[in-house]
Amino acid sequence: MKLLNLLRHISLKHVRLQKAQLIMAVSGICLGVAVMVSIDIVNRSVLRSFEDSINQITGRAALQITGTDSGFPEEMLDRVQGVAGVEYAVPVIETNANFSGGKERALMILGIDVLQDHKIRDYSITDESADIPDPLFFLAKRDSILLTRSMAEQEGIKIDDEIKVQTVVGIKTFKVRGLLNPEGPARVAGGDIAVMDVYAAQMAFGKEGRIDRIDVSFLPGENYDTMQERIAKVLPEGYNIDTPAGRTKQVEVLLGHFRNIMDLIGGMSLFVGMYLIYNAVSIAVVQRRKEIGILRALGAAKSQVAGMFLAETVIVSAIASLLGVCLGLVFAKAAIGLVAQSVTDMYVKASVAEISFSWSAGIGKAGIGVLASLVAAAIPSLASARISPVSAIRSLPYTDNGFLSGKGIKIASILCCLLAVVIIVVYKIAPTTSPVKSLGVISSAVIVLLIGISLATPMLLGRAVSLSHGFLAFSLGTSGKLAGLNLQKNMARNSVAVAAILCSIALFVSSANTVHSLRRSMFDWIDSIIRADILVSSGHPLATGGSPVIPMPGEMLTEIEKIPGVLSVEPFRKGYLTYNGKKVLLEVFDVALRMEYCPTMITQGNREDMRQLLPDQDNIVVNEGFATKYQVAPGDYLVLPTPLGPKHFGVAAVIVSYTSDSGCIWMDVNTYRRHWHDPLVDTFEVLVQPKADIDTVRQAILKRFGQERKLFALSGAAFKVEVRKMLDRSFVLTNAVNIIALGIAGFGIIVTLLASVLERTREIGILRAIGMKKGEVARMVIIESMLIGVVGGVLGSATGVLIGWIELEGVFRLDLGSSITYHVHYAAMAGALLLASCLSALAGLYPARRAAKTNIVEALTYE
Amino acid sequence: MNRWLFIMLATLLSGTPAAHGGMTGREVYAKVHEVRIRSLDRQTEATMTLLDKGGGTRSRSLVEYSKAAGSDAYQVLVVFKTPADLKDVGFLIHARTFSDRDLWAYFPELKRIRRIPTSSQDDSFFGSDFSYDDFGGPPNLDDYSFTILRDEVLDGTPCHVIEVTPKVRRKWSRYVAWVAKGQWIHRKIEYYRDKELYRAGTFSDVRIVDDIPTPFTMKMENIPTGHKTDLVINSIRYHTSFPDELFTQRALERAGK
Amino acid sequence: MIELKNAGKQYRQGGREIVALRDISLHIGQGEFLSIMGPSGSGKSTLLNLMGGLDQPTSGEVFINNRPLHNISDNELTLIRRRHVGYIFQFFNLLPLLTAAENVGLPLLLDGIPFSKIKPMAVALLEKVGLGQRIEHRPEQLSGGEMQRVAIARALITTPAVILADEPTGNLDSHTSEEIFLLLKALNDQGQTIVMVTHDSKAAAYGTRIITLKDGALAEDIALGECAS
Repeated sequence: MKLLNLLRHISLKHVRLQKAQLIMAVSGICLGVAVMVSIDIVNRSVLRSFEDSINQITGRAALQITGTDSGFPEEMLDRVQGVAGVEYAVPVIETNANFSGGKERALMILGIDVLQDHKIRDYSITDESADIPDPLFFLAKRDSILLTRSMAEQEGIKIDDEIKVQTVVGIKTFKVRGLLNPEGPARVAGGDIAVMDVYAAQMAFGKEGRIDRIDVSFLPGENYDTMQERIAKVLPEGYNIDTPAGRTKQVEVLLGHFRNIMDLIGGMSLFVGMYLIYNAVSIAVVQRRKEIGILRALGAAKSQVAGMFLAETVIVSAIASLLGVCLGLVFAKAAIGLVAQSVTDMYVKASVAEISFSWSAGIGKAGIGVLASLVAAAIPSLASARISPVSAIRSLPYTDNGFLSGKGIKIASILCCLLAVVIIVVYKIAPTTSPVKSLGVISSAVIVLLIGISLATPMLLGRAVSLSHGFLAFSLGTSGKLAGLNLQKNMARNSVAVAAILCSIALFVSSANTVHSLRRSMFDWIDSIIRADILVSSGHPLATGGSPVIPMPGEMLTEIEKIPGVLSVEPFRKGYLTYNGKKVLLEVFDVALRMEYCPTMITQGNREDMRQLLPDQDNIVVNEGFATKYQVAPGDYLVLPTPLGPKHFGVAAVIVSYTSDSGCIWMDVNTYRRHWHDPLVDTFEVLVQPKADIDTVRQAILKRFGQERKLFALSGAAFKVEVRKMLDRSFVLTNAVNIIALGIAGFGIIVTLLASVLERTREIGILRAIGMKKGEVARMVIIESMLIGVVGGVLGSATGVLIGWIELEGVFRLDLGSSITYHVHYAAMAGALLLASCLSALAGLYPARRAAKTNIVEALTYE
Repeated sequence: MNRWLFIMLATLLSGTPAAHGGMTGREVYAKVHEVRIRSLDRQTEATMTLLDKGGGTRSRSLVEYSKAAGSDAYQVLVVFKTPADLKDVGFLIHARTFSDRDLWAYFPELKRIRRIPTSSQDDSFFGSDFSYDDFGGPPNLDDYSFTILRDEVLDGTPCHVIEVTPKVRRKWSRYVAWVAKGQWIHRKIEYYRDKELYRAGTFSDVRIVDDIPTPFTMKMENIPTGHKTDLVINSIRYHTSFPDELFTQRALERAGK
Repeated sequence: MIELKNAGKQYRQGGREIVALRDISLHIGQGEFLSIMGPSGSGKSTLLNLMGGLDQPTSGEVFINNRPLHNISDNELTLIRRRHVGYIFQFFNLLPLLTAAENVGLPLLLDGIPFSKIKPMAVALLEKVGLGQRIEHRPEQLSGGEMQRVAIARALITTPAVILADEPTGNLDSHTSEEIFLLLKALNDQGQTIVMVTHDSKAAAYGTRIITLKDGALAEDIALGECAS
């Protein structure tokens, strides 16, 4: 009640009268929350689209049985159908294809048992067209296919039209026997899906007698564990019997890294936002010091005064946070396409059709915004209560230096930095499996370090000002000298401004450096790995994530070799294995051939070992990420699932590979074909004879196979360019967030300087009265502002370099291996510095104009 | 007074078997069953026409062979003759008992016999509005319960109107059938899912062939979609006594040859 | 009413020990109108602040209506300020954002009383100080004299034991000052205890008793002839 009175009669009037400042504080919090919310929405939406896809595709199946990537014999279906407790067990073939003719369009083909599948999945076959979609025709003809209504509309396809589709066995013609309404599986992959009968699909895609998956539903009352056990008994070893949720989890793990990076950025922008709020409340306290004094003199308790500021913060930040949620929604809508694209590039095909946003989650984020604001507002609010009524009423000059420049702060600063070092060391030496090895730990180290350095800013700012004193006085005259003095006088609050800038610049520089390092390392690696002159594949090698490229029969190799100008052809096949319950990338090629021409980056073991041990033997090579994650070294043995059950493979060496951040295994093509009986090839890597012209050979390859199948033959150089483009695309969003963080810092600078000018109205009045020119006053304010910006920028850059290193060491090296080296992105740093000083100069403009406009008489007679 | 009482009683009792010539629903269906078993040994050539709401039609011709095998077992083979795309597509039923049967379909282009799960017996027979079950033989009467609703004259034929409710789970919850008195065949049928009428058919052009009353025109309509199927018999022979070899999976693959 | 026993006040400024008040013993009775005089820096305002609970003595004791103001918590002191003391400042110290009525009602607002209940009282007091036409005006719309009247009304709203005025006319012209003194005098005539700091002996003459401070010590204590009680 008492608080309500204060809020209604005092705070509310401030809101009405001081709109400009309020808008700035609101914008700051709003932006911070918006960044968090949008990151969250984007994450959820991407993940939801996967979950949704998987749920639609799995339907009512309680368990899914998968073998290796190349499928398994359909006899397994009978075995599973015979297991007690199984209600339905239906076969599934899942494969990727491309429309050929017209524009390139990837589509997923789902082969299902048309007679039974509706028990697991819901289909809705369109029947409003004049033609009867005839199920008997659909079943009886092997060229039957169903498309989704949406895709048919987009491509202008009607029922009974023929479509040409690029498949493993070349270009195939199918007849559209019906259209699927957007329900169930037809919603998957944004509707880019086609349904066939499973047996027709076997014939069309060269999978006779094989299926990719069995979806199983249970009779009522059966439980997952016993069913899994019973099914496992009738199947050979090496089959995965998983819940659909388990499959979602795999995707979640894949996306985890992406999410972590975004969360880190979100957390840091919130931290910057907190500085801003601290600043805004400090300013309000300073400005309303006299009011506080009067209230205290008239009998307002300390708690009432502090409570008033906290309650104001709650109300303002709640409104701002809610606005932030809305703004975040807008940001997310703008960014979602970009994110989906980069996730598709890097991980798995993502087509995010709708934004996944729940108000409860939004309110939660707004709550974090309010909480963070409260924490940030706590110190100045409590300080407000300490204002002595006597001194406030008498308008004694206000100095808050006592609080922040004491010895305690120095000690706290050193302690924080030490703590950060300790956390990093503990993190570094902790074993991979320990819970300490989490992003949370590394983030807290970063935050503690930031706090430590922030606490040191008064000291550092003081040092910087006294160092630059001579220079300022010499080159900038009185304005410069006074600017320096002013900075020193309001050390505490100026330090806060410096710290705010420091944090946002550090955020910017650190992620610029991390991105730069990753980029450099990856580019080096790409140069080392892509040595082929021409890459031949059936789809654009980088068109989509996952394995959308339709494999080609292995026999094509000899055909390509016959083309004049070709020196050698190497097959490349990739797939996924399940190792320790996680998906691991398997890359297969002709090791003997590759070792001839391709410098491999080896971290453990040597080339000779690889040459000796790999070809057609049960040995493999793993990448660094895999080696660290599973504690594997050359000489160890791994058990990998093959279609014929688990087999032992020796580890010959550890190499550098960034193709997958969940681990990668290299195997010789002969070894692979022996165990997997899979003759298909994803890419042929062609070396051209020294004198031959690459482009001529490229054309010759295209001409040779143009009739049978659609091929892409990309030159090695063009491929590298594409890869670089793709990598850069994935970093766009990170940069966008950085720029928002810088924007927040800009707000901080403006608010701080404005307050400092307002507070010194009287002082500026005196300066003007004794003869300081308007221009000089303005210059003084701008110099102050720039000094803050430059000091913050320099400190931030230094801190950013440090944090970037921590992120790289702590997060990326763990996943990608020690071969990633830290590169400082000097250009980005220089840019950040320039930006900081320009922004701060700009930020000083309004306060400077305001200072220059100060009415001398009013300023002096004030009070 | 006595007269009034008598009329009242008669009204009250009109729902009881007494009013239907003393027959219960079950007794009526026992007669139906008998006719069906007698008609099992046969060869039918028929034309099936699918009509959609928009007026589009598709037509196909088929031959059906059937045979009684023991007291309560039978076998049915259906082979499509036209159009060319469907030639030799086949459908085979082996009923070991009236309530235990296997269904297979054969698609020559895929060279594959496929089992149709029993749970699909109420699904569309190859895209028509008939079900696989409609092509099967007589059911096991013990699997159903029968209630006489009333007597009614349908197109000049006096009929018992009987509600049939399955005791096991089916895709429909009950059907109401108009059974012609004396001939003991269906003249009209309505399938319900709960309260909703979803499938209705009529059986007309009844001719007596070899002493067996046989409807030569059968129409079935899917009420929600408006899709209709007409099945017209071109020729029918009873007492064919086909050999068992005609009803094997091999014969299915060879289209009954 | 107000009782000081050997009250003293010292504080540190820039490392030096400064004695603002030393050993003051003073009794102010109900209905007195006490003027405190003395040169700048003699400790007048400090003495007033001790009496009003804005400040606490570093030695000695202060009582108001037999309640101690020394050695108590800030919250207790705050409540005494809120409920038992009315303050009038040289610079009026009205909150610029509030209307005259709201400023008057502020001490009760702090006590959590809804403004709808406060407003009639505030209006009555404003009428009493001659500002019945200025109820909804903001301080910036009022003259100096009017602002001080609002401040006097604010001091009266809690019906305090004592009104403390710190150079209430220091910022006003002589004509307006006289009006204010007459107003205070009238209040005193109705029995209100008033303590006023002033350096104007003409002003002091409105009171019933004058004390003079010099270097933080009590130098003179004169009761004027027409002492009411």
